[in-house]
Amino acid sequence: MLRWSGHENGNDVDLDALGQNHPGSVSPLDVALHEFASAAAIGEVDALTTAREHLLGLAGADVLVDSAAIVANFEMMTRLADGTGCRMPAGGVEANVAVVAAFGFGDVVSKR
Amino acid sequence: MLVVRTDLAEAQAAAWQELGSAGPCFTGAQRVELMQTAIDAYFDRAPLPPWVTPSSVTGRLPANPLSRPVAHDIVFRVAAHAGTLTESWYRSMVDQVGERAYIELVALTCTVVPIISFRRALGLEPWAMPAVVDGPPTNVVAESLASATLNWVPVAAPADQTASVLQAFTALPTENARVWRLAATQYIPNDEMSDPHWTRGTLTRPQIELVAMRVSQLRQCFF
Repeated sequence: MLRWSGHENGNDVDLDALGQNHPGSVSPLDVALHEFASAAAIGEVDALTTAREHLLGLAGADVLVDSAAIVANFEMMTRLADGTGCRMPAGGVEANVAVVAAFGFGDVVSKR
Repeated sequence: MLVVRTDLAEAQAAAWQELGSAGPCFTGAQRVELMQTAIDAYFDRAPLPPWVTPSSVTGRLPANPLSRPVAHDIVFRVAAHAGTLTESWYRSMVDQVGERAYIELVALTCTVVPIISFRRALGLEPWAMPAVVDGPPTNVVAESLASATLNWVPVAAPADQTASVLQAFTALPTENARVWRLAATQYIPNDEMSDPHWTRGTLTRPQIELVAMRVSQLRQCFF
């Protein structure tokens, strides 16, 4: 989804940079989103407070709320997928080889 | 002060309150007790490891739980260690609680976790537990169930006509509807999923997917 939507918007995403947590040349907002998503999922209070305030200052309250909602949704969807044993349809993995490689998904326990 | 858009606030509030009422296999009181197990598991910075169940550790569960301890163990594992689940674990749990109860427990956890995560992410006060509505389990189940090749769990027949995530909870229509109402307001309405340019006017679609990808990566979710 990330790679596809970026390409369709004329903004190919540097998956390797993001996957290695070194956003490099991506935009300040992308970096702030990445940091906020990380801090929200990990839940360490100080880091989350810093990331939240940074994103709020950079992009405003509506972006912050929507970003938290997406974090929430993927806290839900990852549990839905892993809890019910969701499998990729045929060809699903092959179509996402670049994302799997960049983000290290090939090594995760839930791979099946 | 942060203002949460109305559709999102209403969907989360409705989902939270719904857990105080009976579901297909559990009463409202049981569901509220199980919610607390999900909350404790999600917020625990040093949770029990995946192979240790809370029911095996003194003091981790209520002294006289309203549900069988294994139900709490399932909620704990899904809330704290979903990325470690295996099909053999699933089969062993279903042998103890049954398929429908298992699905309801996962759906319950999938309702509690996003809401408490959302409020923590924004620095908002946690919600009080929902009021318990008395009544027996509803036994509401899809008219016909089928084994799926794309999921461990049975789904509403016919199976495998749609994506595995979309059919995952269809065996229990009320649980399925609640989760997808949340998804439509938290992420993207399902009808808009194939539009790479869809936006609420805040984040672009690639930015939405960036956040989604990062959470999936941290949760070790291959799917």
